[in-house]
Amino acid sequence: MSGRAKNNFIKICLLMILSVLILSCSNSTSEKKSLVEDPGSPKKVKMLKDRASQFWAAMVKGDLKEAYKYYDPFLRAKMSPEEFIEKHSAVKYHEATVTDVKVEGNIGTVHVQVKYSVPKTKIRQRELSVPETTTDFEERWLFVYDDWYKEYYLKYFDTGVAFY
Amino acid sequence: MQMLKLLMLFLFFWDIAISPVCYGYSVKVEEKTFSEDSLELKEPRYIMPFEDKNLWLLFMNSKEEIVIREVNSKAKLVLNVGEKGKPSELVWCRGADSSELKISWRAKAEGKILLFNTIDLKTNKIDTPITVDKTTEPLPRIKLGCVKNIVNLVWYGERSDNKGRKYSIYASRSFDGGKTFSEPFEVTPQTRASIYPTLITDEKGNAYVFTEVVNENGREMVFRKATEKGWEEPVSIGKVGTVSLYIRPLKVGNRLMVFWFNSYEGVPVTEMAYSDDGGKTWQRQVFETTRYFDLTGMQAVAGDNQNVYLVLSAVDKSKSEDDPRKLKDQLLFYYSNDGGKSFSGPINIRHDAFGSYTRAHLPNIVARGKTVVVVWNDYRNIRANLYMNYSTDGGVTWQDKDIPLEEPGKFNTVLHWDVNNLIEQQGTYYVLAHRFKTDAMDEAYPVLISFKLSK
Repeated sequence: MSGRAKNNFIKICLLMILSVLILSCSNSTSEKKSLVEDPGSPKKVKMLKDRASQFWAAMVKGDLKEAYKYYDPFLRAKMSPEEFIEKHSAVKYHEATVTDVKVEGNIGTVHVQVKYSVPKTKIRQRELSVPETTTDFEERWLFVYDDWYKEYYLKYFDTGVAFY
Repeated sequence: MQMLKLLMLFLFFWDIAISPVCYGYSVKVEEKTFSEDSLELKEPRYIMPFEDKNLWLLFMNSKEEIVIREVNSKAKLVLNVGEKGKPSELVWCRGADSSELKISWRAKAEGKILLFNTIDLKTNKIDTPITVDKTTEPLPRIKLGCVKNIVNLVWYGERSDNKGRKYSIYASRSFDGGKTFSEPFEVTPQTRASIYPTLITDEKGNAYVFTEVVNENGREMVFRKATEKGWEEPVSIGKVGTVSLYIRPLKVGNRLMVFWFNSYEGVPVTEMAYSDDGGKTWQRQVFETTRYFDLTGMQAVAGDNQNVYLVLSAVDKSKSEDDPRKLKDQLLFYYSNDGGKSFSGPINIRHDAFGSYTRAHLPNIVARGKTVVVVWNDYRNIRANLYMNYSTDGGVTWQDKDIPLEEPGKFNTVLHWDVNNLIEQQGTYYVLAHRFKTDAMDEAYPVLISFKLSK
């Protein structure tokens, strides 16, 4: 083999190895895109603010089917959208603003101000209603592999579905 | 030639810098999943190394089959075909022949029975199981040890006596490789409640049992030894608090030791005792730094006669209500370089800036001399992932970064709460866990992850 042919052969080998390298790491491409190991870059913070704002916009629209998609995958694996809608349609949200977000690894804290009301409804033979009320609170969001999800947490029972 | 050099250089860095799964760490990690198997989650499962090259898994599946599966070929043996009764609890040991596997389990059909069987992994021959006991009403806590033709079995039973139902520890021994067993022997006759069996079998086949005993005088940690002459009188190690789940015995050279987790008036603390005279007298120690730590995991191993390691996971109950650490398990590691006479303070082996918000628990550990490796369940990615760290100086210093053993955040992979399923075989480490099929976390299959440490 001449010197040039030899060089070409080596170049081809090198290219083939590079292709193998790229292909063999293809499984980890999603992991590289995933921000799961990101402690809290501006990109991850913005993602949280956007997701939380989108979730609350859906709640104000009364689009619980859409809002359901923002809940953590542990809740969605155990509760169907229909069951979720049935359980969460009592409260009407009129306005909602995400006022602040904080990211600590895969834990997000979202500060929200909402105006809500509860139209007359019967719960266990008792009639209940709440007039339009403005309140603000913090809620927890979780970064689960590919995105931020709102943690399904029942404050009354002090328990959620996600175990972490 | 320059191109060739470049190629060689490239291949060299490819080999040392990039793992086959590219997690961004230098440790090479591989995994083998057994998605065809659906695990019975409550039951123990084991990695069984044979002849320094073959690995087998032992577990119970959701069809109530006791499965022995060869890792490479995935060949499957079912131990309890045609056996009546729901099996629970599995224990194993290696027989006199290196291909001989001995397994014991408890089954509940018309009554409660303790079964034992021998399997030859070379011929796949499964004997007819022997009923070791059906008189003590055995419950699913069994320990098994084998050396040559001696087989020691210790278990927890609930046979009634004239005062009513009694929870006690029983034992049976075989001196013919498990063909015949002695009548059940009550190891803790002085008890009203003794519920945690433990067992060490030494190289001569002697059995050492440690257990908590509850009687009129309160609670004691009791030690009892059996030689070829039979069972010696029990020895009290001393008064203890209320023991919960974890009693870990070790024999390091001629030193016997036992670690246990107990609570005094609701205050949890971990303690230990050791004996240098074969169990006649005991020296006790309290791990003061574990006071208020409510344990969720405990493993103790010896790297050699000098290096002994203890790793715990626990929730710190002393923290205030608004401190997340009051709810989240953390890891505590202790080392001894004097064969277990004294221990270091707690060493932090987990490195996560936001670790106080997420759990780290169920540590598994393996050690050889001063090299000690810990794998644990880490929830820093919200889903349960396996992380690893290691020390090569007897547990004093650890890697700055914890090493994920799977793609971070992608799966829910969980270790067994009790069985230490981390082994080392010819420089490769293997850890057995189960991986849930979905985030509903109701169905899972075994996953065997292997890795080598960076040089």
